[in-house]
Amino acid sequence: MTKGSRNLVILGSVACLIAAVTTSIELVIYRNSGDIYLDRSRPGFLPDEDEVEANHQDESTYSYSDTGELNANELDKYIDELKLIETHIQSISDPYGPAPLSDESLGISTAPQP
Amino acid sequence: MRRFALLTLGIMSVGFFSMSLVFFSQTALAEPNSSSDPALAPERLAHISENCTFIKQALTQLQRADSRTRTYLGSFYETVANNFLSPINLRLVKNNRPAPDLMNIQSDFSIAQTSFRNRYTNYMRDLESLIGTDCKARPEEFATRLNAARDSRASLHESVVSLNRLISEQEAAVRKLQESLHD
Repeated sequence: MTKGSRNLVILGSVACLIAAVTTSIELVIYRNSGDIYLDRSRPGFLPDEDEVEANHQDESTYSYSDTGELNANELDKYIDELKLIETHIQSISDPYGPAPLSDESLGISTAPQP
Repeated sequence: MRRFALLTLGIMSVGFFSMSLVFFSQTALAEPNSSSDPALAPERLAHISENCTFIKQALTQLQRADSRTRTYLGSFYETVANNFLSPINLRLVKNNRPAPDLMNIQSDFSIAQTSFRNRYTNYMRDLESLIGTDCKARPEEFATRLNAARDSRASLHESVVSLNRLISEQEAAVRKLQESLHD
């Protein structure tokens, strides 16, 4: 092996090593910052395709226009659409409530069984 | 050549040092302080150890359900912010009728959304840490991490309640605006 080719191999190895180190640091930072949890919960990153389809059915396509004169009828429509969204949100019973992490739910309750 | 080798060695040392600093800080910060937790009764720890497999399954399912919930709620909150709160305030300004109460709601909603994202991240981090703990071999550590996950879940729940309350306030404020247009 000539001196030049040996240096080239060393240069390539160092470049790979630097890439591996910086990528590893980046992944650790990505995980520690918590962005991984936000990305994993985005539509399309959900584990099951049917869950993504179910979400799309409830999506609202309404958008209130930011131009034009103020109109009481349009505000009627605005309120109706907003109430629809509230209904969808309230369809989830007690989101992030304490029950699923309770001792009873996890099967670690020490209370006497009836 | 010698200089090149020294340079290579220097870069490798810096790289490994950085990696060890990052991993060390992650490990050091992750260690829970279990000495003062009153919920570490021996009976309870025994239950945790015995039911470890069931507990892990339940937590994994909960993690998936919570992720779906965050997607579902998050998308609606984005819709409310972009298609309802922002446009109506813009339109009011363009019509020379700025409404301070509607603007306050929009501002509060934006803050609450950021809080929701941050609290969700914290909660997921705690939940993942909990799932990663060996509840059979280390039930004490598991119990401590469970308390932390409960606290962050409660905090997240508060965020959701705040956001939902703001949406109701927005509806009430727009009704009031609508009445003023009839006058």
